[in-house]
Amino acid sequence: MQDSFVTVIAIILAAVLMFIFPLMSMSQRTDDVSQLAVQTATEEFVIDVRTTGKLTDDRLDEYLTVLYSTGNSYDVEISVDVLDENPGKKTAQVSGNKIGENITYSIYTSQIETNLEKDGYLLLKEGDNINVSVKNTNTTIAQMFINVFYSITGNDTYAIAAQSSGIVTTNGK
Amino acid sequence: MIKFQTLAIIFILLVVPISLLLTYYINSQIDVIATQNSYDTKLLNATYDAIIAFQLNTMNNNGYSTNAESLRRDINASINTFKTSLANNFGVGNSYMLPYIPAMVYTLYDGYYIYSPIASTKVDDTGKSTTTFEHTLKPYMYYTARYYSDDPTNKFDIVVNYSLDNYITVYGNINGGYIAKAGYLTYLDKYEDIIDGIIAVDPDPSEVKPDTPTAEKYYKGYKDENIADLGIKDFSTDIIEKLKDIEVQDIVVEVSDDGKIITAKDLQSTDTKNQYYEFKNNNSKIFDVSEENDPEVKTSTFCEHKNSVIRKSIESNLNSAINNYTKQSEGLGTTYDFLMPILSENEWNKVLSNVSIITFMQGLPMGMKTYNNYMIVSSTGNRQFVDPESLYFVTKTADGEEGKYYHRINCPLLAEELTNDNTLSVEGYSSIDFKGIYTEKDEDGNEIKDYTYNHKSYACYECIVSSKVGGIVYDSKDKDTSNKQYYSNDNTNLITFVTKNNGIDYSTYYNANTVEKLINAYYNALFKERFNLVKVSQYINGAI
Repeated sequence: MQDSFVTVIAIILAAVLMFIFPLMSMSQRTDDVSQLAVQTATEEFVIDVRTTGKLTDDRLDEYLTVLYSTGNSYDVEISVDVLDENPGKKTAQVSGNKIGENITYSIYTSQIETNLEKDGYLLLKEGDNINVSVKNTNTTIAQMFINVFYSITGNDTYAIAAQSSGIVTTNGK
Repeated sequence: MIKFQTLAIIFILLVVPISLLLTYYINSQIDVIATQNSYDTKLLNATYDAIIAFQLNTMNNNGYSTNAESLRRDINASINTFKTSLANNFGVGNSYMLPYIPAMVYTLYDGYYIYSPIASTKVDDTGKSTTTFEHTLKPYMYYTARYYSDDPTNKFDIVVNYSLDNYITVYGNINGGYIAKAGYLTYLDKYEDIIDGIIAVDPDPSEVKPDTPTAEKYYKGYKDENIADLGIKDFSTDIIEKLKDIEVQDIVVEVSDDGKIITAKDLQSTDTKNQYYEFKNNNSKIFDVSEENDPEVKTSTFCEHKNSVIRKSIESNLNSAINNYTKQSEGLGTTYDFLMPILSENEWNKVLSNVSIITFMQGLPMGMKTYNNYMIVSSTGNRQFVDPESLYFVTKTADGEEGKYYHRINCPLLAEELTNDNTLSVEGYSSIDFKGIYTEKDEDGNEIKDYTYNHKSYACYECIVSSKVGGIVYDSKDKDTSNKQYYSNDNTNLITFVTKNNGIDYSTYYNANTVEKLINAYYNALFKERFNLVKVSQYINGAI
């Protein structure tokens, strides 16, 4: 009786160690590799836009292809803060000691996509700011395990995420 | 027989270390990538700071900066900004970062500077020599090619200095005669009609100051004892006749031991030891200007050849500078093998289309890897190069009062303004003329400390703030033709007016009168800005 109990425990332990642990470990490593790819692609994409002043649908497609090649689905949020120097110009003319109060207004993913659909590109100018934020929307295997063990709830949990932003350095042509 | 439990333990002993190692490796890779991204951003930001410093420092150089050496002070200041910005971003002292900067390149209008470490040997009083390594701004190098032929019927040995646009300086011997000329190589036929139109709307010549030439003077020739003859008509007519038979050929240049050329024809490297072999348009007459070979069109034979010359020159000198640093880098405390990276076609296009800075950072330790990258930032506002895309236009009343907004030449709202009020004229200026100038004291010495503006108009929200209208030259890549339509002036192939934007039809505003005003304003602004541009190469060998 005692031996049987120990054997059952051993089999359960072995199953956990031989299957679940390697699976967990490998799935987490897969997520890490995806994280690596997503982070690199996002940074390269942002630097490209910053230095050319141009966001084209070809470049966006290329970026999205890299993301989806990791086998996950992603929510990509792009926003552009468009610099408007006109208010600063007004302010500077009436107030001697004030450096221009430039303002920005933002355009977001859907507006950018509409523009890309219409024209195939979005031109930016020096001083604009581009922000790209990406996170996975599917549940990866590693997330499933984590959810089982830690009972994490909610919709905003994600395993793969990257963010990059910066000022555009040249006028797009 | 091995027990099941034993197998499990063996498996665990195998898998756990592998898994842990893998975890460590991948995490360290993620850290490396994060570090690399952070370094990329720091390098880009420092390069951007450098170009901003260059723009600010050279903004008011117009008029006195008439030789390359006077630019050195501004370039050195820009380099200092780069070094300080980079060091601040990394949180270290300036000298710490220097060994990892194998080179910086400032590509300017008609030449470039390379900033890289060189060895210098000093001998003290006792005769003992010590070699030190210092980053130094090397002498200005022109975008130059030499053309040589010993054919008795067409004998020449000339050097041509190119620029980012169609401005060239030619000097040397052609058929026994020495020439030294500088000017804009232009396909003249396309300007004939336009110039007539421009002359018709020129202001009273007596009111035109010598330093604000009209398009007519620019085109036909403008002579003054202090100002070069920049008339494109005179220059192009003369120089095309002289150079039109020069061919670029893919030939092998052989040089004898004493350096004498024994087999050579036409294009050669200036040092006669190397051969330009990367040109796409071999066996073509690059200076034989025609509608198909218009030096102002980027796809012309002339432009492709010119770009190849510039690219080859920068590549070879930069490669040499970086390789030399590799041999000497121990002197600056690093043993990294510095190598010149391969720049992509897009990056070269960026370099060849405006004043730019290329910065290289290599050999910086970064966990398990070593950092190796470069950044290219092009300038958007400077007085070193006239980019037609950087000319902004504003309407004027008869009293000289400027319109509320300034625009790009192809903005439909500009056409709307002009058509709605026939009495308005339009004038163009460089984009930087619309920026504020911080002034501390007025002419009488009274304290001001305020921003002043030459033009008080605001940037148009359609074409400048939001860039929705796009550039002035299009190649029909728009997907939705119902969204945008263009009107192109066939004579010039340089401006494409936007007649339909975001689905709104503006075509009725482009009547003959408005189009004429716009074209006149465009060429007047372009010629005026080009005329005022400081061209270092025009002073070479008395070309002026």
